Amino acid sequence: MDYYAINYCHPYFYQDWRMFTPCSKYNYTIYAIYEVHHQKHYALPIQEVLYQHNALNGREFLNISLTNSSGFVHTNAILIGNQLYGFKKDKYYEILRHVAIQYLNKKHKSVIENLKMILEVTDIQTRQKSYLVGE
Amino acid sequence: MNKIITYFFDSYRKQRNAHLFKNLLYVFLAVKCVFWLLNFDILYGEHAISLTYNSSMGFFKNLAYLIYSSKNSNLALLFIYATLLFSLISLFNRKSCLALDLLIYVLVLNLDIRVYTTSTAGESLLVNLCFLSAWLRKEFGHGNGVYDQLKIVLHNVSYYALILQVFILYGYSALAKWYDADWLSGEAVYLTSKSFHFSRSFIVDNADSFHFVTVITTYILLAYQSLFPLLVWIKKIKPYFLFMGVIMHLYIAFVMGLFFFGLIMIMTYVLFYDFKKEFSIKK
Repeated sequence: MDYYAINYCHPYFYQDWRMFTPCSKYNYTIYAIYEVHHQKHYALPIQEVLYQHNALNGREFLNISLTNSSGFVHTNAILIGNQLYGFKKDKYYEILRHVAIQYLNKKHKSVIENLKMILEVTDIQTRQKSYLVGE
Repeated sequence: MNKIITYFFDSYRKQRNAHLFKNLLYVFLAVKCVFWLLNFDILYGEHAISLTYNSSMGFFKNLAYLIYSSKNSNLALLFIYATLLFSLISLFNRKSCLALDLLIYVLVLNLDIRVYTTSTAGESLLVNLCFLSAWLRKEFGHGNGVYDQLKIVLHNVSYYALILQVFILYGYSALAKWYDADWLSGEAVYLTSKSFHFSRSFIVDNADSFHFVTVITTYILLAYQSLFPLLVWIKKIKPYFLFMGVIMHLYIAFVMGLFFFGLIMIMTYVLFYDFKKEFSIKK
């Protein structure tokens, strides 16, 4: 019964409210390098959302999508070298990539190609930066 | 025991709160529909940012995944317009209609599931509030029939189920915080203030100079969420306590950028407020 009910509501004792627990410990920056009509472009999707969008045109949901998926990807990253990590090609990476692609498609009103992403992770307390690369 | 049974069967409880809460929920849904329409393309349309997977959900589950499974974005558009229309009808209708409220709940559930990667706690809460509040009444007529009795008891149970929902939200959240090192050390609000995803640039830049304030705020928030289910019943401090919560959720809405979550939480405070005059229709 629970298996079916859980799709329709969140039963009381299956709920898991955390509300900023654990709280944000990292600032994320996505560097996107891609092509539109064979012309190279660069973008910082998270910063664009935070500084160019407001509550009515998607600041909240775009920010949540990009930072949540960045957080999951960061947690699952594979250590390559000192402060350098590789993307683990799992469903979270797939979600992050999809969000970034769709956001950039929408921004350019055109299909983007050859997207390469670098995720910069800054520890809020130590200010140490690490990088996630993949492609 | 008899007293409890009488309390739930005797008359509609908290009529003004229920009436106002339902109407606010319809207004909230109407605003949310306008928001969905303004951002339709990137939420449900050609550039939808939530990834979908083609897997069969089975007949029973499919009712919640109609938009998610559909390849045609017009279905989402239809659901949004239907939610908007039904919310406005329900808002201006003096009577409540259970079937219409349950339909709104199913529509909102489908719309919410399709945009799962964009969801905050507010969306999950909204779905639950839509379901639980469907059983509340807006009109409080007399009657001694079985159907009238059923309406009264459903209204009263639903009202306290909504209150329990808020308690569970704060309770679970507080419990998680009591196990978290950053909350216990008083650093949680400072860290969040320094996160540019959930803060404003002037706060990020100046958080170091008011570190002491962030530590005190962390402990106040921890105490607020932990004690909410107890202190909200004490009439003398209730207005101040709720006012403090409103300030907290306004901060979450406008500074942290979780706009709809902040607003929906403020809306739930209507359930706790003590109105000086009740509609006072008793059997």
